[in-house]
Amino acid sequence: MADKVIYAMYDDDDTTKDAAQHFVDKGVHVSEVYSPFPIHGIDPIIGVEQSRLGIVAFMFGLTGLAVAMIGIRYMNIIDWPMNIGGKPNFDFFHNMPSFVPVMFEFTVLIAAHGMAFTYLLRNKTLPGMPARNPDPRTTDDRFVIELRLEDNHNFSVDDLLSMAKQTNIVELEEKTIK
Amino acid sequence: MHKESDIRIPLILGDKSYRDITDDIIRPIESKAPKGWYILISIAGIFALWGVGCIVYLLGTGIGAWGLNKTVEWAWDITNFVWWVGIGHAGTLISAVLLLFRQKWRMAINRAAEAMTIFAVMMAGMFPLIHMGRLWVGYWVFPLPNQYGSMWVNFNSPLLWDVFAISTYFSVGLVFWYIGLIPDFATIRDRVTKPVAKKAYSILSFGWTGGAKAWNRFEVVSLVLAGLATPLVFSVHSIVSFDFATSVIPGWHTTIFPPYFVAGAVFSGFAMVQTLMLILRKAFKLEAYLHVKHVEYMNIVIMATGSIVGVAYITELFISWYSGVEYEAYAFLNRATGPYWWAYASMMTCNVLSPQLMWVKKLRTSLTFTFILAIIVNIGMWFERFVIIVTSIHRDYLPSAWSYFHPTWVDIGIYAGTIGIFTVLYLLFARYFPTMPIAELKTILKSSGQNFKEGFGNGAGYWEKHAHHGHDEHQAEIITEKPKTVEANIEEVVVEENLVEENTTEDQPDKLVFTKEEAEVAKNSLLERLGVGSADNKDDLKVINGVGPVLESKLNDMGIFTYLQVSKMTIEDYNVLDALTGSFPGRAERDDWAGQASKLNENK
Amino acid sequence: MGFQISDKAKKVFFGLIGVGLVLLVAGLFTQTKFLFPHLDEDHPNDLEVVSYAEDLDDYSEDLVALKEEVKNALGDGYIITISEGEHGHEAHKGGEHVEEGHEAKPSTHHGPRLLWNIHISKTSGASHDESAHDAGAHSEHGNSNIKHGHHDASPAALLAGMFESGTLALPDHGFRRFWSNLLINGFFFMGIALGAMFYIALHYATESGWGVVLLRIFESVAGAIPFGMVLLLIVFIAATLGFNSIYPWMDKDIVAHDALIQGKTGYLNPTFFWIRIACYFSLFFIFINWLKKTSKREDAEGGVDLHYKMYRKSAFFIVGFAVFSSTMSWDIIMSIDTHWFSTLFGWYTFSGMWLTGMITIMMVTIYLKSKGAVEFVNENHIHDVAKWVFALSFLWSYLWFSQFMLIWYSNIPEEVTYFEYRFDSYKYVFFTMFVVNFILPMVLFMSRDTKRSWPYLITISLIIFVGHWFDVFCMVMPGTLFEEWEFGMLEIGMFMASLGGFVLLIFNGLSKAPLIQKNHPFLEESKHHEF
Repeated sequence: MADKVIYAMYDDDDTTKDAAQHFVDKGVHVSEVYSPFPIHGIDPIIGVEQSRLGIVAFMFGLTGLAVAMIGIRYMNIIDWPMNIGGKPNFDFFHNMPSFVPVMFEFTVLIAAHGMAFTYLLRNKTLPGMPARNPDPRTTDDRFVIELRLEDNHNFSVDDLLSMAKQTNIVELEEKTIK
Repeated sequence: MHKESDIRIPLILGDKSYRDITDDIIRPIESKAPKGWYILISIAGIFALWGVGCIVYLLGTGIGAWGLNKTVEWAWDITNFVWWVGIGHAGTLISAVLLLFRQKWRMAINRAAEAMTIFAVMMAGMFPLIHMGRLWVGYWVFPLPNQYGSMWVNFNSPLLWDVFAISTYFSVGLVFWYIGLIPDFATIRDRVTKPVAKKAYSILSFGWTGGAKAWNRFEVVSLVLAGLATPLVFSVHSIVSFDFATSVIPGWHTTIFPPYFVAGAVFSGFAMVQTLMLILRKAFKLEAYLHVKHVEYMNIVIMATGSIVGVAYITELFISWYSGVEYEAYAFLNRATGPYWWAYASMMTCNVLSPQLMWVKKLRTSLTFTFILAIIVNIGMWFERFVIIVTSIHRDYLPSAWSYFHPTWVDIGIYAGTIGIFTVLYLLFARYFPTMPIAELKTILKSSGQNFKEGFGNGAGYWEKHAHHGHDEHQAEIITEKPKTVEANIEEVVVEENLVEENTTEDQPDKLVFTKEEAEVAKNSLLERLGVGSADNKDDLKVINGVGPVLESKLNDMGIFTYLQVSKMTIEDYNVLDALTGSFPGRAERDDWAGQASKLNENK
Repeated sequence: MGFQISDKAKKVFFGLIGVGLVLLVAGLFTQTKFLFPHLDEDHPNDLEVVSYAEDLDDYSEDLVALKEEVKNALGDGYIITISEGEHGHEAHKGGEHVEEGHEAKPSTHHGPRLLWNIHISKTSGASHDESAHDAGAHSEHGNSNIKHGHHDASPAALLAGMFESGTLALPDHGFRRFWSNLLINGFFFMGIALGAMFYIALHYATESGWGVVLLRIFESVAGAIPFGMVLLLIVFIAATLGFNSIYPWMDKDIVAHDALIQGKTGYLNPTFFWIRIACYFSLFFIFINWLKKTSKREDAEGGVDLHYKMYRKSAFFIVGFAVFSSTMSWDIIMSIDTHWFSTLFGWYTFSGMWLTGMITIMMVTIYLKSKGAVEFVNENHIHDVAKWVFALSFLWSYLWFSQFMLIWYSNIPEEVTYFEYRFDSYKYVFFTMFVVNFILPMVLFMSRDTKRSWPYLITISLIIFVGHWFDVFCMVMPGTLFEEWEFGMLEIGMFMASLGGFVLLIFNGLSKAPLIQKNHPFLEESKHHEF
């Protein structure tokens, strides 16, 4: 379904934040904000929730720890126990101090990579993906607020355009996307 | 965002805008490399090749090509390994620990330091691999199922811990670095015009768009990765120290090793960062972003970690006497007065005494002195590892086996070779990658930019408008007390800024204003000069820097469709265009549309 | 002026001190257990009873009475003979466990002053072999089994049980346990203040901005350092005058028979010890008082001169502290186990101090916030302190593990005895302490939400706080009370009383100055601290 989108461009992060507040105050849903760097304090205005990737990392970390413990136990205790420095190698627990380093490293390894990969997938950023920012300048010094008509059934394009004109815009554009 | 204290020295000097930050950091990528770069990379390349040659020779001949003997079984190889791993610590520490501590000054150095980390860890990893003698079975260090049945790696061995620690550190460091790089690659992607570069950077940037949700995730991921990387940094060098400390060799077995190795690693890492960044800032004219204050902060870290290392040396020495264990006491006596006294003396001078000079403000704010001291510290830290490794084992329990280590040309060659390879990699990084985090620097411009803090240029009046609180009465007094050291630098940068501005403002004529009829006439004459285009063979004018979708459609409305047309524009035409489209005067000229368009036209 | 503590809170703390003191006194007087039995696995009918009494002359009458009691303890079926071992006999269980196969080394500590070899024989021909077998099986597992092995235990084990439970006992005239506790509490509470003091210095030296609104709280916690110092000074004076023998190297008799300690007397001798203690204590005392005075002057005068002065002095303090914190913990704690040494010990102890200091600061801040006294402190400040608690717990665990693992791994007799001792006799305290202090903060403080929930913070932090008291307990007790330690009213009472006194001193400090440093140049940054 074709959808109308309005791109309002700004040249400053504070103005963008004020504009987003302006739209939200009028009941407009701000679909997305493109910016060259994270604008602090805009997330609560446009209703972006804090990412839960931290929990993802924790889960991956637990997995890594479990895999490391099971793996070490199998390899060095069950399958091929070795007597190292007179220490009992037939028991995981009593030999644990020397397994801690690898357990720790493996936990970090899995947590970091698991989270990073999830992050790339969630952001749809992978090698070869096309850039979807509406204007190339949004990675430099321009800020764009995207208003989708789809998200704002109560407003017409003209409503949105006139609202945008009340803010401190630099450029304004209306587009149809598929 | 809140205003930071007035007595804090600005981190970004001069009158910068967001655009300026992009321009300044990307300039080395967009412009041609200076001659010096080619000279340096050639020299480094020769060293690298020599190193590779030595490695190949060693692999063909055997480990005996090194100067090792029956008593001194570890010498330069492991010294170099620990030295490189140590250097590889500053990068992650700067980005992770300083991020957790919210130290904004890290942004000048974190990207380059992380690159240094990754390359240094690569160099470090080479030594144990070569040491195996059979490089091609290096993968045996991993716990892989194999045809020998239950032949597993030994998880009790500190050497295996090293394998896990170093490989985890390397790959997590790489991920951390790359995730930070993605948005900056996107910035480059959206600016470069050459098709090959555009293609390359668009692959590298993974299609980053910079939406609010993406940035939110970006910040969370950076924070969590920093939280993971911090204990990782501690663990890696601790585990390297376990290689020695778990043994029962006097001089190696001491409990202070883990934290003391970590402090030593940070110490040498920062020294290496100083060495590299002092060159980089000069070569790429990044003085506005990395100035004396940054250098001073790093020097304070060097001084602090150097002192920690010093305390650890003295602790070891004292406890070796206090323990009442004669072997332990002898090991340390032998270090200081035995045949390797010169190494011990160099270590003490370079690592403990020389950083103490940093207590003098004049010295720690002197760039020349810093550069020299950083190199001294690097030398000292190499000697530290040499002292720990060689002097502890060269006189073992049987005096008949006492020995002295002499490096062979292969030892020297491989060491020099790794420095060469490292330099080549670093130069490539500096040439093709953004050496400072563009996006992150922009986030601190308003709080730490000189123009915003002092209220001139782009930052004029900003904090008066945005300050959420009144200023204190003693503020004026504070401003006058600004330390003098930065001022020299500020002037330098301000002068540069002025030059640029004069150029742009000088030939800018008054803005033209047309009536409706005049506009029609002007448009027609403009099209006459530029030639007629049509919507059929239309080019994507948005690619031209400074042309957005709105402007593009306006240009199309006037009948300007192709790069060819745009490339013919002159200053006069720009002015006419400005008047017709109502966009910003001077913009087209500043961005050199014609120049851009003619390039685009050629590459079409 | 500053924050005035409410009368109600005052009553609570005085109550804490009162109850603590009562418990302490009660603990002192009810403490009867004083003789410690050792079973010998090879001789099931023999029992060795030792005592570390300071001065056996005090006990001569009690001992005669007790001997009679012991002889009749098992009833008519047994004949019990007691032969006295040599005075000053070198105990193989007194100080260190020496690994089999290694040459026996002189013990770290004085040997027992009293040694009874008790032999039990039966009058009637009961199943002798069986009981021998039993006793052997039990003692293989070490001490713990003696306690619950009463049912069909050998007569020796039975007798041992009586000594264990205090049925057969002497009163404690030596107050060894009392002095050890005084040392623990003195060191623990001085450590808290020192941790806070170090953090202020760090805050100034690194030009941090976030914590400015908390600086007065830091100052007050650090300013309570005399409390711990006084307790420690009492211990040191008593030790020097010979009222207790916590430090074996202070005892001329022991040094005369111990070659290893003789080698250390260049460092470990009372004169040099007192010089060092004077240096440490005066540096700490002078620095914190100077800082408090100067920050008050800053309040009055404004400007940035004083700020830069504090910045510089703090940097120098950190240097002094870096050296002193290590040597101080060697002097006060490590020298108890005089033979043992560890280069990491100082840093490890310091990390615990710093952590408990941060916990105390967090508690005081939350309390003041709940009373509405610090409206300029927002949740982000408390969150940041919680982050420090989290990070420092990790640092502490890392240092604990580094020290432990390296000694465990290399297994060198002169080092490993330290941990073997703690494994054998302090197993549950030692490991519970580590697990609590590592796992709890690690898992429960990881999430952002938990660091922002006060009830959560208070509960977990209090547990860790007590956990770190036990850390000091495990550092001190094995060296002073050997395996004959107890935990009871005395310990709890003294901890309560010390805690009450220490907190009152903190609040006294808080009442002396305004809770905010109004002229601190980073004040605005701190007030609007967010992230």
